[in-house]
Amino acid sequence: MTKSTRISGTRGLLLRLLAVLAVFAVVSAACGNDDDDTTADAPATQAPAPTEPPAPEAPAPTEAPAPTEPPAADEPVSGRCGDPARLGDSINFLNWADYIDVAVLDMFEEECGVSVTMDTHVANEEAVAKVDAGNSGYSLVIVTDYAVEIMSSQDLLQPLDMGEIPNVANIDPNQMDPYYDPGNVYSLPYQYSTTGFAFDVTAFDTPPTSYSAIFDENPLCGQSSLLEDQREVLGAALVYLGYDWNETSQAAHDEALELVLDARDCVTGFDSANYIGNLASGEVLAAQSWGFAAGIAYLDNPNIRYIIPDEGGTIWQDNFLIPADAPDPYTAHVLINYMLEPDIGALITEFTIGYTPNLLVPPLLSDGYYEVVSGTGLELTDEIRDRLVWQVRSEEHSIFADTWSQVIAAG
Amino acid sequence: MMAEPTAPTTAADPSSTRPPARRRVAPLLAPGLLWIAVAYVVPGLLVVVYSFLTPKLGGGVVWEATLDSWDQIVAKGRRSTAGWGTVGAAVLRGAAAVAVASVPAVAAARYLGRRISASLALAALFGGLVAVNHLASEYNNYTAVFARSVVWSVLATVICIGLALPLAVFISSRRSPVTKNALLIAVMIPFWTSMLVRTYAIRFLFANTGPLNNLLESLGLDRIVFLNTRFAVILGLVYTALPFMILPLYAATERVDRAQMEAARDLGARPPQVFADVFLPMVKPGLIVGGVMVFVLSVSQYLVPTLLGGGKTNMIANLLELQFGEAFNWPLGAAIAALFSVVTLASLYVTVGRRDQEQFL
Amino acid sequence: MSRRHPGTRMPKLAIGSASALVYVFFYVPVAVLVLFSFNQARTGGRWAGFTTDWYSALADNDRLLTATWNSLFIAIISTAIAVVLGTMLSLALDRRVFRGRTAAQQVVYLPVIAPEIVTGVALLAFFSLTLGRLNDMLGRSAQDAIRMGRPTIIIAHVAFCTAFVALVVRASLRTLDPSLEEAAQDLGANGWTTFWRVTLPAIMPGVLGGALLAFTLSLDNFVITFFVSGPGATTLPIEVFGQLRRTISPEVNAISTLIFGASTLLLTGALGIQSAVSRRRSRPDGDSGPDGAAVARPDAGLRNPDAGASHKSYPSNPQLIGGGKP
Repeated sequence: MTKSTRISGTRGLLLRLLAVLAVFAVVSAACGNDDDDTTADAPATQAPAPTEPPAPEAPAPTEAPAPTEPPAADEPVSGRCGDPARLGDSINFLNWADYIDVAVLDMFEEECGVSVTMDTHVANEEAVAKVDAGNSGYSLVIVTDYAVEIMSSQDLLQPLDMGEIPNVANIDPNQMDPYYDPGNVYSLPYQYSTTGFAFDVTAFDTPPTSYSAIFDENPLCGQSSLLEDQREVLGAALVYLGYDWNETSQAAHDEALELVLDARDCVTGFDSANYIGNLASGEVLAAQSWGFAAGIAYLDNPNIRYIIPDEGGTIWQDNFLIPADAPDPYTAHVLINYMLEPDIGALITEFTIGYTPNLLVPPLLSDGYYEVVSGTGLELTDEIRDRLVWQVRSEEHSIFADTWSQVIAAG
Repeated sequence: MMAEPTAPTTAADPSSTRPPARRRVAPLLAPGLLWIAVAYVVPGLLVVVYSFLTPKLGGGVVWEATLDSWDQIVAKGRRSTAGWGTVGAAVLRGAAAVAVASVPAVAAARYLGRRISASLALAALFGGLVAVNHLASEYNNYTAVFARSVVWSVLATVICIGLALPLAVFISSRRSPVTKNALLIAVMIPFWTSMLVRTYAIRFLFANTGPLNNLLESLGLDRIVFLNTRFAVILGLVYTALPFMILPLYAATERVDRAQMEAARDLGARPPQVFADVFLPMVKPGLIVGGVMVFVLSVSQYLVPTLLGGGKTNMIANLLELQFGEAFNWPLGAAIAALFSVVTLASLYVTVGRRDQEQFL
Repeated sequence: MSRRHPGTRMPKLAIGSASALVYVFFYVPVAVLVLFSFNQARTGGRWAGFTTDWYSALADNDRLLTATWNSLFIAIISTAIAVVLGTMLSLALDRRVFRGRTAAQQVVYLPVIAPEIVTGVALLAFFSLTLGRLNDMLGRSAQDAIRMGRPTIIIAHVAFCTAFVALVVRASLRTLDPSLEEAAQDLGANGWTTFWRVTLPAIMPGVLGGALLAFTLSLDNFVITFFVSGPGATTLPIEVFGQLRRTISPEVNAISTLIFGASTLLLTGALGIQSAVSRRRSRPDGDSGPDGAAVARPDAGLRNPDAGASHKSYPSNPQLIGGGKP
C-alpha cells in the first residue's frame, strides 16, 4: 500500500469526523439559544408562565383560592414583598424534591420581582452535606425535623428574625416549639405528615389495624412493601415487639432484626421510590407509607386507605431554614413569610397533600383536598396524635445503621 | 508539541527515529493526568484518611484518630454463625467446584488440542474463587456484600460478552461503512435518553402485574416475580453496561484478519478451534477493555440495585449510601470504600492478569 | 475472497438473530417510554387513551427544560475536553516510555474503579475546601462567592470521561503498528502531520467510540453530579430522580422521547451526509489518483490503513478483510 492511499483514507475519515462535529455543533448551537433564554433573561421569559399555573403539575384537585387575586400588572411589588429596597433580584432555594407547586415560585416572582431558582434534594443528609460544605449559595433550605437539630448544633444556621415574618402568627401552636428547635430559634414549620400503613381496602376482609399485617400473619405475601428507611422499618418492628420507636438497646435490635429478616421474604421490597405508583396500579396491595404519599396514591386508586397502626407511627415535620452563610437572608425571610400567606399555603398543601401548620389555610383548601383526606383516612385526630412519636437522632442511634447494614447484607 | 526533526535523512538510521520515548512526554501527559489527579487522587487519599477518623453526626468527620471503623468491619461485621465450620464448608465447596469444573475443562482442552495441565489449573483457580466467595459470603456481613457485587458483576460481564460478540461480528461484517455506523449509532441512541426513565420502563415491563406476566398468564403459565430479584438486578447491569462492551469489541473485530481464519480452516481446524485459537486472540484487546469497563461500571452501580433490586437485593453502593447518608458514618463508609477498592483491584488482577493489564489497560 | 465472516462458521443466522435480540433488548424499554409519553394516564401501567398534552405541558415546564439543557451542555463540553485529554494521555502511555509510567497508568484508571458515591462525597469535601480558600483569597462575601455549579460538574465529569476515553483509545493504539508512524516520518512528515494524517485516522474508531461512551456517561451520571452541583445546575437525572418521590411525570417521558427523536434525526442526517459524500467520492475517476484508491474502498475509513506489517502478537492486515474491492 502506498503513502497516498493512506493519506486519502485519512481525508475520508476527517470528513466523517467533521460530519459528527457538525452534528454536535448544531446541537450545541440550538441549545445555546435555549440557554440565553432560560438563564440570561430568566425574569423576562418566565414572566408569562405564572398567568396560568401549569395544570398538569398539580395532580391535586384544582386549587380554588389562589389565582383569584393577581396583583395589578403595573405594580410589581405588593404588600407581601417586604421592603423593596432590601429585596434581592433572585434567590436560591433548596427544597425536598416534588414538594411544592412550582406555580408558587412563579407567583412570587411576578408579585415581588424575585426570581427563585429551586434545586431539590431527596434526602436530608444530602441537604446537610451541601450546607455543611459552605457557600452553598442557598438562602432558603427545607429539611425534616432531626436535620434541623443537627444543623443548628453545628452552627450551620442563622436565627430567624421573626420581626420580618409577621405571618408567624398564623402558625398552629401545636406545631411550634418542637423538640428539635426549642423556641423556634432557627426554623419554622413548612408542612408535616406522618408515617403509617397504606393498603387497598378491597384486598382485606377486615381492614388491618396493626403491623401484624406485615410482621406476622401477612396475608399479602408478595404484594406488600416496607419503606427503604432504616429508622421507619426498624422503628415499626421495635414498636410491634413492644419497645420504644427510638429504642437503642442491642437486645431489642437483635429481636427487631430477626423480625425484619423474616418479613423480608414476604415483602416485595424495601421501597421508598416506587410504592406510590405500585399502590395505585395494584402491584402492591399494602405498604408502609408516608401519609401524604397515601393521599397521592388515592388520587389514582380510590380504594387506598391509610392508618396509623395501633402500635404507633411517626410524625415528622419539614421546616424552613436559613443557612448561616446565606447570600440573601432578607429575601429568604420575605419568601418564608410569603409561603406562610394563607392563599399560598393552600396552594402548597393542595400539592403536597400533607398537613399545613398554618391555621388560616384549612378554610381555603378545596373540597377536592378534603375528599382525598377523608377518603384515604388521613384526618389527624387527637386520638391518632397520641400514638405518634418523633424520631430522635443522636450518636447512640447509630445502632440503627448497624442493624440495617445486616438487612442490606442479607441480600 | 512533538518537536521531531523533519529531516528525512535521519531515516537512514532506524534507531534515531525509533525511540519515540525520547520525545517530551510532559505536554501530552500532564493536562489529563493532573486533571484526574486533582479530581481523584486527592479525594482518594482523603477517603483513606477518613477511615481512621471519628464520625460526626450530620456527616463529615471529627479529626480524632481511631480504629473504630476497621474494628466495626472486622468484629461487628462477623456473622454469629461464622467459625471453623464456615472455613471447612468453603474448602469442601472449592474442592467440589474443582471436581465439577475439571470435567468440561479437560474435555475442552482435548477437543481444542490444548495442554490439559493448563485447563486443570484454570479449574483449580475456579475452585479457589468459589471457596473464597463462600467464605466471604458466610463469614462477614460486609464481605458478603462485596462478594455478591463482584459475582453479579462478573456474571453481567460474561453475559455482555455473550451478547456483544455476535453483534460486533455482525456489524463488522457489514460492507458499507454507512450501515456500520448506523448500526453502531443504533446501539448508542437509547442511552441518550435518561437511564432512570428507561429503568422505570423496565420495571413496568417486568412488574407482577406487567405485560410480561400478563402474557405468561394468558399462556396458562404462572406469574413469575422478576422485580427486586437477582435476575432483575443482573438484567439491569447488563442493560446499562452492554454498550461499553459492544464498542471496544467492535473496534477489535473490525481488525480481525479473516485470511488467518481461512488459513486455519483450510488446514483442517474445527470451527471451535478457529474460534478459540485464531479469532479470540485477535479480539482479546477489545474483550479486556470492554470486560474491565463493564465490570467496574457494574460493581459500583447504585441506581440499578436501588431501582430494580428494591432494597432486597443490594450491592456495595447501597451499603456506602447508608453510611454516607442516613447513618452519618463517613469513616465507616470510607473504610468500606477503601477495602472495596482493594477487592475490585484484586478481582481485576486475578481475571485480567498482570501482563495483559500492562499491555491493554 | 471474503466468502465468510470473522465468526467463522457460526451460522450467519445465529449471529443475525442474536444481534437482533440485542437491539430488541435495547429498544423495547424505549418503545415503552415513547408510548407512555402519549398516554393520558398520569401514572403508568394502564393505557387511558392517546394525548399530546404532556408535550404542550412540557413547553411551559421551565424546570425540566433547564435541566435538559444543563445535561446536554455539561455532556457536550465534558466530552469535548475529555476526548482531547484522553487521546493525549493514551498516546503518552502507549507511545512513550518514561519513568513513572506505571504509576501514571494507575492514576488514569482510578476514576474507572472508584465507587461513584465515594467520589461524590470526596469531591464535595474537596471543592468546598478549595472554593472556600479561593473565596477568602479573593475576599468574596457570601453574596458573590464562587460556588459549585456547572463548572464543578464539568470538572468532575471530565475526570472520569477522560479515563474512559483513554481506555478505549489505548485499545485502538494497541492494534496500530508504530512502524507506520515511523514510515510517515521517514517520508518527511513531522510529528504533528504524522499524528493528523496517520495516527488519528487509524485510531479514529477508538476516539469516536470513546467520545460516544464519554457523552453517555456524562449525560446519565447521577451520583457524582448531585454532590458537585450548585444552585441552578440541576441536571436531568437529578430532576427525574427527585420525581421518583411521587411518580415520574409523563412530561419526563415526553422530553425523553424528544431527545430520542432528535438524536435519531441528527445522527441519521449525519449518516446521510456521510453516505452521500462517500458515494460521490467513490465515483469512478480512477483509483490511480492520490485520493482515489482509498476512497473507492468505502469501508477504508474505519479500518486500519496500515501496510499490513505484523505487530505484537496478532497481525493486522486489513486489506485482506474483505476490503480492496470497489
